[in-house]
Formats: sequence, structure tokens, C-alpha cells
Amino acid sequence: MRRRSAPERVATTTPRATTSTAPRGLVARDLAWSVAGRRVVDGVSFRAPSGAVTGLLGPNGSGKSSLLRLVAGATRAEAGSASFDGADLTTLGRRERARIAAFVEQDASADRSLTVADATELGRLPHRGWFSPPSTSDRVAVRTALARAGATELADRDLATLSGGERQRAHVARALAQEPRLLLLDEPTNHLDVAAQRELLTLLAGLAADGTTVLTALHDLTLAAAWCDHVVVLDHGRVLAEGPVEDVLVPDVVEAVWGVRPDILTHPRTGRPLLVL
Amino acid sequence: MTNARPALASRTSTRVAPGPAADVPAHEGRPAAHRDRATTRTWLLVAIGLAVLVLALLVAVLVGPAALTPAEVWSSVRHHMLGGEATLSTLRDAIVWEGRLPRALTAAAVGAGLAVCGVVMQALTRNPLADPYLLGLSSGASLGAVSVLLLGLTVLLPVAAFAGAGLALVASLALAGTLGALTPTRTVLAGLAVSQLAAAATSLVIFWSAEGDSYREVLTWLMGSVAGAGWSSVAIAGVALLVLGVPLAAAGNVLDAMTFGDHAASALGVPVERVRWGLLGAVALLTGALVSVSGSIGFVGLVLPHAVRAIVGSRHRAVLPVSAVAGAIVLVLADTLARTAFEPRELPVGVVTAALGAPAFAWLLHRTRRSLT
Repeated sequence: MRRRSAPERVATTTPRATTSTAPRGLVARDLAWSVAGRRVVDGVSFRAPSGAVTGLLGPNGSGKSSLLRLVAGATRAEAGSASFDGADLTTLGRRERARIAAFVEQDASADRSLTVADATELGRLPHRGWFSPPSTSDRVAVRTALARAGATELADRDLATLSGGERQRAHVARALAQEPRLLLLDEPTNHLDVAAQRELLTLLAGLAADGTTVLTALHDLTLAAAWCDHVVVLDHGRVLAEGPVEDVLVPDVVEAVWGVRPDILTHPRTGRPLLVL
Repeated sequence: MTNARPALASRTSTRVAPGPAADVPAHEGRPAAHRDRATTRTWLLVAIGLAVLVLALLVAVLVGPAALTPAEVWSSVRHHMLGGEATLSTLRDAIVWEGRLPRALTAAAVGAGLAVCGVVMQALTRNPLADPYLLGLSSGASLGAVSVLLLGLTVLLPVAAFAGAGLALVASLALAGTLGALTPTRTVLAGLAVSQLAAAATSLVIFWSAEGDSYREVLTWLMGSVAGAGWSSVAIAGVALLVLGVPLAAAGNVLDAMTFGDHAASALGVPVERVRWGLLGAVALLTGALVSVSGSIGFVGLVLPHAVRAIVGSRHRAVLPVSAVAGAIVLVLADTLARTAFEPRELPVGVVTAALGAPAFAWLLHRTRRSLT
């Protein structure tokens, strides 16, 4: 699958060769979940390679959000498993899983007013006792997460007063405060202007370059083609195609799933596939 | 291969340095015991609040038709607690020890418990209008109490009130449970249905059988009052507060984790469903115990959490303990006012909390208008 080794990343990631035989990154096997008797996630198996940005693509209602929730442990799978670096996320304790995987939901809204720093601090909860106040190391981790997400200047702002792009950075900061090795995001570029979209995807690519495995649902195929290393295409709760962008986002697949036949050009400057829909 | 992401050069230049930011020291091996400033501030506020509470209790015991001096109060307390000699008359000793002191302590325990329950309910249901009585508890308790007062059931009133609250709770949770997973909306709606039903039954009992003096007795109970509180009330409310209220007040981290909803809380490692059942159960038992000694005193559990948030921010770790102390102070003072404002006539304390709480709530709404949509 991963035949392309991104050259800009080699210097910053640890060598991929491991002593264990377990596959690195996220491996989902036969995940299934239904609601009201309808199979929303129907035996889904895929990989999200370690230290790469994997795009989860599919039309509305194809099961992207449900699948992410299953991997994040927010809902329980009826069947199948998801393992990360060999550890089975579906059987791991909740807190232990929360120290491995962080989840940025779509349109997560707070039930009270709180600052970005307070929201980020929530990401430390899996790392300390349910009755403990934040420690020095928690505060350091919060500052680090805010800096990494480019949200340091927002720390004292009320979450409700932020622009869409700023709020998404705050949510990523909260997820990073969990110090996750697997970062899950549900359509994080929704409702963002082009500058904020680019900023966010730059951040995700940087995190992947530092070794975090990023799995993000995206509905914009052009963005997916430009930014993802690996893509998984869902349709009606099943995986229709999976692999490197240039192998998967081809006219036949896109037409079969989205009903629109794209032209695929090569970006003149970056050399990446450019979808014209 | 040649396919890099767009504008690779600019992306690399804006990338933040990998790992911890340069200005942040590595934190491995640091002691984890340092309290943060917010925690220190919370405990300072609680300490100040406890001191104010002691003063409020003293005021509550001193003020009234029979003017007492602090020395007399101290003598009475010492006499009963430490076996010292009482230097005041038996009558005045009874005013302190049998009357005002247990009444003030009951008010303190009820106020603290209601405030904590209010905070927890508002967080669990993600509803700023939630209060401890949301699951039909006050209506259930009222039905139990009114049945005793009017239908002549031969059980103690607190027992009947607690049984009524318990039945209402079971009915609410059962109804919510049959709707599926216990979500905030289902909880609120099921509670509303049970509450309305119990209220209708209470009205029917009152309409059918109340006459003359029993009207006033029933009304006093329905509005909430600690007028008849003795040491047994102190024991019921106090034990409930210690056993249920203290753990609830310590649940701040869990409630904070639910800020962004159930999925986000699960992803942070919270067993959401179990936590919600557990906390709702604890709130209901505590509220049931409080209602059984005081009737349903309104507004403390609704308004006080909002007032405390306006002061300490919205972090539950701070809101919960501060609300507990503030609730105790407020209800002790409100009851003193209820007892003395229209001497010799006494108001049910619920009337005072409503009279003070409603304008306070309106003022809070106005203050936070920008964050309301």
C-alpha cells in the first residue's frame, strides 16, 4: 500500500522498521455497527498507516462519522476490532484508549462558556485521576498542545467568540493535550474558509510528519487529493477502495461512488493529483 | 516520487517545531503534586465561605423574638456538647438547642445539598434550567407528604416524602430508559412527564380533602420550610450530605469531561452511560432526603449554580465546592429572614428564596446576555 515514502518526512520520523511483527498504525477489521436495524457500518476493514494523513472519504450517509466514533470508542462496535500499533482499541480500558486516540468531533459545542485554555485542559483528563486537580505536567502539556495547534494567542478567549478556523484549532489543541498517537477528526474543514482549511491541513500534515497517525473524514475530494497520503472510500457502510491517493481517486471510482466523473490533472507545481469535478 | 502536497515550501516554513515547543521545558519526571492557581483560589474561596457560614449560623441563632447573646449560645452549645454547666435558663437553652440551632443547621445542609444537586443536574442534562427537582422528585415528595397530611396515612411525613420522591425517580428513569440510551433530552422529558402526573395527583388530593387549617399546613410544606426542623432533620440532611453530597461535589472532572457532549466524553475515557445513571441516582437520593425534611425549596438549586459560575468560571472543580458552601450560607440567611421579617408571622423559606432568586436570576440573565442565543 505505502509505496510512496514522503521525502520531507524521513528526517523527522523515527525509522519505521520495528522489532514487533504487529503492523504499525491503525488496523480496522470487519467493524460493524447498526442503528435502528440499519447497518451503518457494514464489515469495514482498512488501514491508516503510521505517521501519515489518511482521508476517510464518502458521500453523505456513507458511515464516515459512525466509523470514526467506533474507532474512538465513543460507540461500541457490534463486531470487528480496531487495533493501533498492535493494541486492540476495542478491548482496551477507556482511559488507556483515550491516552492513545484523540477525537475531534464535527460541530462539537460546549454546554457552558469556557476559555480555549480550559477546553484544552479537558484533554488532560485521561492522564490524571478523576479526583485530581491538574498538575504541573498537565499545565505544560496544555501549553505545548496550544502552541502546536497554533492556538497560544487564543488561550484566554471564550470558545464561543472564535471564528470557525480558530475554534477548530482549539479543538485540535484539546485533542493534542491527550498526547495521542492516533488523531481522529470528523470533517474538520467544514465551514472553514480556504485560508483556514489550508492552515488546518498544514497542521495535520505536520503532526503526521512528527509521527502521529492522522485519520480524518473529508468530504472535499479536491482537498483529499491534495493533502492525504492514503485514502479510504466508504459507500453505504462498506469500503469501496483503499490505497494511495493517486491509485484510488481515479475517474472510475469517483464516478461509481459520487456519480460525478472528474478530470484528473497533475498539479503543475506540487505534482499531486488535482481533481476537477 | 514527485507528488508532494501543495506549496510544500511555505508549509515547511510555517510548521511548528516538532515535539514540545522550544519555550516549554520538558516535563518528564516533574512532581505532579503542585496545585495550580485556580485550585488554590477555589480552596481559598471555600475557606472564606466556611467562615462566613459560621457567622451566618451564629446570626441565625442570635436573631429572633427572644434576643440571645453569643455568650448564652456558647453556654448552651458547651452544655450539650461538652457537658459543661448551663448558665442560661431552661427555656432559653431550649430556644437555642431545640429550636434555632437544629433549624439553622438543617437549612445549611439543605442549602448545600440543593446547590450541589443543581450544578450536577445542569451539567448532566446540558440544560441551564435544570434543578434538583427535575426528575419529578419534588412533585413525588409532595404527593407523599400531602397524602400524609390530608389522607391520614399513618407513616412519618419524611418517610412518605422520601418514598414519593423515590417512586417519582424510578418512574422517570424507567420511562427515560425505555426510550433508549439515557441522553439529556430523554432525561428532561421523562422527568417532566412524571412531574406533571405527580403534581396533578397532588392537586387532586388537596382539592378533594383539604379544609380549614390543613390548607395552611399543606401550603407551607409545598412552598418549602425548615420551620419544624429538629435534630432528626439535621441527622437526615447531614448524613445524606456527607454520604452523597461530598462524592457529588468531588465529581468535577467527570462533569467537565462531558462539556462537549457524550461522544467527546467517551473519547476522553468516561463511561458516559454508567456515570449518568450513577450521578442521577445520587442526586435523586440526596434530593429525596432533603425534600423529606424541608419540602421543595425552590430557586437555590437553579439560581445559585449560575451565580457561582459568574464568580468562579464554569469549571466544575471550582463550581461544585463553592456552590455547596454558598448554598448553605444563602439558605441559612434566607431562613433567618423568613423567620423574622414579618414577626410574629413566619414565611415558608421557599417564599423568600423565590422572592430573592427570581430577580437574581433575571439579573444573571442580563449579565450573561451576550453568551445567550
